[in-house]
Amino acid sequence: MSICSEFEHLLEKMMADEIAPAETEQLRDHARKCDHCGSLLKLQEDLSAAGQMETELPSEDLQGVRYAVLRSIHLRSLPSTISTGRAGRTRVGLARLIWAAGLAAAVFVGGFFLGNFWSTSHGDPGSALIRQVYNDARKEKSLREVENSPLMYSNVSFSRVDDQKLSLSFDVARHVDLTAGPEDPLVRDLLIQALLNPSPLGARLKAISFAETNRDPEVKRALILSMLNDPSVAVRLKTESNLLNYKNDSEVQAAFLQVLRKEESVQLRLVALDYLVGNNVSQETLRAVVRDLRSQGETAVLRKAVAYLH
Amino acid sequence: MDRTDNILIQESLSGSMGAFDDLMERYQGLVYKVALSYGGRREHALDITQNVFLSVYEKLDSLRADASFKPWLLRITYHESINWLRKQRRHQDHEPVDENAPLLGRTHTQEEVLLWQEKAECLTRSLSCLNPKHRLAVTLKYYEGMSIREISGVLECSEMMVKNILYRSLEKLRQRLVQTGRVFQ
Ligand SMILES: [Zn+2]
Repeated sequence: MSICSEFEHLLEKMMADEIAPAETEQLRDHARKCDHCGSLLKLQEDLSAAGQMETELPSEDLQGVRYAVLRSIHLRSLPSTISTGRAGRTRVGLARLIWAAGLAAAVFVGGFFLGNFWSTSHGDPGSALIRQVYNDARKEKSLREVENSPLMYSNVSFSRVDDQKLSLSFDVARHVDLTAGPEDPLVRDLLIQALLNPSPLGARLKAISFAETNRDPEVKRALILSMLNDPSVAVRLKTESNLLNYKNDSEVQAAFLQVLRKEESVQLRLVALDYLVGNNVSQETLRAVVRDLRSQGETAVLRKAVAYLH
Repeated sequence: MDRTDNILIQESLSGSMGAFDDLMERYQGLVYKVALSYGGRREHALDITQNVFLSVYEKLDSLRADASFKPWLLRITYHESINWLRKQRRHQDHEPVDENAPLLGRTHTQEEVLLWQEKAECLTRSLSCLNPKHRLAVTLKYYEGMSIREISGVLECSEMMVKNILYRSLEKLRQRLVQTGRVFQ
């Protein structure tokens, strides 16, 4: 083996952190005498040092990337319905975050969305909810009574198990009237569900108004998702103006950056720009936004953004 | 205690977007840095990162329960980066990496730090002369501090092959730096 190829072998050992001290000496000795190998060793050391330098992560932008990914997943899953098997496994939970316009019937106002369960032989007939479902169904009821039952069924599917049994799968909602203090965790849950689950426009707008006094971080996230995803411009505008109250909040900033880049409504984008400028967004981020807007052929928002650049 | 990757994956598969968000947050830095070594610029690296996580979500249920997430994620990052590079070439708007341009996202403070940073950044830029696979090996080894064994898991090759790739990358980089007159003292 020539001396240089032995050096190669030793350098590979060094890169793998498998080199013995005596071998290191041998390697350095050759590096001093041979220009070629010497520069390789120097390069290996420079790379090690360069790699140790911290790369500052653009955390605001990465948060924006995450929102964009989540948003895209929501949008893609829109046409899919709850079903059994593989798709069911991955989509059931997602469906709760999706606005299904057809489901937004008035009966859902103040309704209680309990998720779906299976009333098969493997189900848990002992649970209070299933008992309630059975009790409600056993009574002699007219068509009108069934229609106006406090329990509302949706997303119903039937399949035959055998000659004796059918398998039933459905979501059940029950109308509930309660009073609770503003800090009650139930209030938070209801606000979030009203924003994220199928509910009528009026209910969503009302939830946004009530969310104004609630500073729970999960409510804030629900507002962000609503601003980025709600199909109604009116709702998105209202959530946006609610989120203006969160000063210098990195999650809200990231969401406003998304609005600036992806939102169709110019109005929403102008408000987002004002928020960002008023909340110490970096000039660098602003420049990146201007570049994006320019490539989109945007005019009104672009003009305003350029005016904010130093 | 932190939830393990496996738990987050299981929860993501049963539809928890919060769990998937946590998983992304855990690995966004790694994916971004590897993507930056291909994209060269922040905006490009962010685009690649977004594609990576969308692809991860789509393929998540194909990840074997006993397989570990990180090497799989890095393979997806690699493939998405290659896809991105290909698209850039196809659209003919590939901006050649400017080896003199400062890397975005660095904060310069003291003068000697600045000098060394310039040198290190120039070195980082010069990695673009390596082929994509070699670039990944060098990035994982020197920038992510991964072991040869871990890298062999990502590249799905032997440890000996990884060492060989690293050595040949050093050779290639040396030639490149000599050509551009940037021999380090
Ligand atoms: Zn030599």
